[in-house]
Amino acid sequence: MPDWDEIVRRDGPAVWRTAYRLLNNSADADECFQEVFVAALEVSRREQVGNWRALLQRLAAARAVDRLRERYRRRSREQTTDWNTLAGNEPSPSQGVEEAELAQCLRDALAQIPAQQAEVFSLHGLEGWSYQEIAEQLSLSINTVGVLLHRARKRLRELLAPDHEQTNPRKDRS
Amino acid sequence: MTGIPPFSAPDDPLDRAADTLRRASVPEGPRDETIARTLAALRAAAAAKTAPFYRRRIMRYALKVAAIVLLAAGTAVYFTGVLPLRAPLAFAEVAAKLRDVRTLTYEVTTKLEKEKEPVKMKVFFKEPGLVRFEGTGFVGISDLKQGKILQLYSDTKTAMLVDYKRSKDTKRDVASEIEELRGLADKKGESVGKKQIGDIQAEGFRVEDDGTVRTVWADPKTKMPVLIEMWVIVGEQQVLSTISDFQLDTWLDDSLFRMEPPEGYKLQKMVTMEQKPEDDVVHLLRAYADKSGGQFPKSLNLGSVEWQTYLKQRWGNEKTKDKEPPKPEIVQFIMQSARLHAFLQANKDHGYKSDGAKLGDSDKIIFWYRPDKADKYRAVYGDLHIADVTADQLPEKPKK
Repeated sequence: MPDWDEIVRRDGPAVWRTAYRLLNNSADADECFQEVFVAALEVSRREQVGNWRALLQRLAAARAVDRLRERYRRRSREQTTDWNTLAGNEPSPSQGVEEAELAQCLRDALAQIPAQQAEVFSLHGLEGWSYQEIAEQLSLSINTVGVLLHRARKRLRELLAPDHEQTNPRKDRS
Repeated sequence: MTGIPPFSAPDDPLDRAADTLRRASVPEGPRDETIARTLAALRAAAAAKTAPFYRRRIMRYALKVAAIVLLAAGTAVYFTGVLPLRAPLAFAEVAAKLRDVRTLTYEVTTKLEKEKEPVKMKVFFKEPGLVRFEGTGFVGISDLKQGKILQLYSDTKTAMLVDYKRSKDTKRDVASEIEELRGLADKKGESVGKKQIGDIQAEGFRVEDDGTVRTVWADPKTKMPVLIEMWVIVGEQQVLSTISDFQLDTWLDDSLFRMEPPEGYKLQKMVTMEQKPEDDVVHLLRAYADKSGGQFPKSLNLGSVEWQTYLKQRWGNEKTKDKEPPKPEIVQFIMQSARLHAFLQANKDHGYKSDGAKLGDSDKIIFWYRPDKADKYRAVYGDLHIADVTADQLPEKPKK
């Protein structure tokens, strides 16, 4: 039986930051955090866990991407402002307006590409994982990781291009 | 991990955006409450032999929200108070386990006929009188002794503080029922045999109270409750509500029951509610009469057709936006209804008779009850004024 107190104490902060970085909202990160640990428990029932932090961060990235996609879909349906997605929700004093907008554009773009691509991009581009580490955690070949990253970057660049129409997200749904 | 990739290609929007996200200021970690809630969820999931609590989409209509809250409130009352009063001798040990708990967690699953998915709610109880409900997109934290409920709607980051203080005139309330059950665990009931639940050959006990039938399934080895099944009438539907995944005396951190909105939540208008049952009755009857040309309902059962019709007329067509919390007036109505329901279940010395009475009839008593240790009754008249009356003034002989 895993020592959950120890795992939460040791790996919790890193897991929470992974979720927060994508969600930019404490309350959402809190919920994601709880979901991740319960999901990890289920994983540990099925298989031996060798690297708890890697498992938890991978789950956090996946759950956070799910939430980004849900936010984006909801905003598309309602055609109204989703205050959770605005950079101003929890602004950092040191974060300029332009940077905040740029970061939010990337979050929106991640919500529009296939979930696995977004997950792989987040782990590599934001959390600094190597191809090898991603391949091990996601049970993929290194080549597949490379392909997923290549596709993700290509699609993200298109979505971030200045002339891209961001207001019609449905046409980009994967 | 191998570390963050270096800053690169400042002209590439993607690299700039990713670099911005990497360098953005991020809080050090989760709050203590989040850690406590997560550990509690882990303990619950670790103890459960079935799949853990899964998130479900929240119902979108105020009417459905009302039904669920009523069910949850009723379930809590039945579970903590009424059920052990009818416990059989063979069930005494199970009831004793419940009676002696300092903390208790369980899951309530309710399946409405017209809904595809069941609604699940996780309940955490801790002495003295602290309760936390967790549903999809919704958390309710209640301090039974203080008479306050904090409702949190995560999707809109809205918090609503509800004051539902109860008068001392009330014979029993939710908090005192928890105390009462501690002295009562040896009443008669009916054995219904055995049933395989997971890997447990559970023993069942049928308990009937005022037409509500509950079946309690317990593990004969551990004397622990495994499953409680309860049939409830909501409108014209018969609904099966089950209580499972019991955990007794696990550690629950106080932060789970903190009556303060989390950071980032907007606190909505506080709903202050009347304190006495007669005030609840007056409020509900006035609301009904205003929509019915001065007529009163035939009963105070909100599950009846006439009340369901009223609810549909008033709020049934008012579709809320996806995941939007109910309006404060709806919450107030729900809370008053649930509180009155709990009171009427617990206090048998009451009556309601609306025959022929209309709003404004100042000489007709339509509702009455006897407060604890009182000689006289509190009565509500047709014009909704309240007065103390003797038993011989009542329209019906008091029930013994």
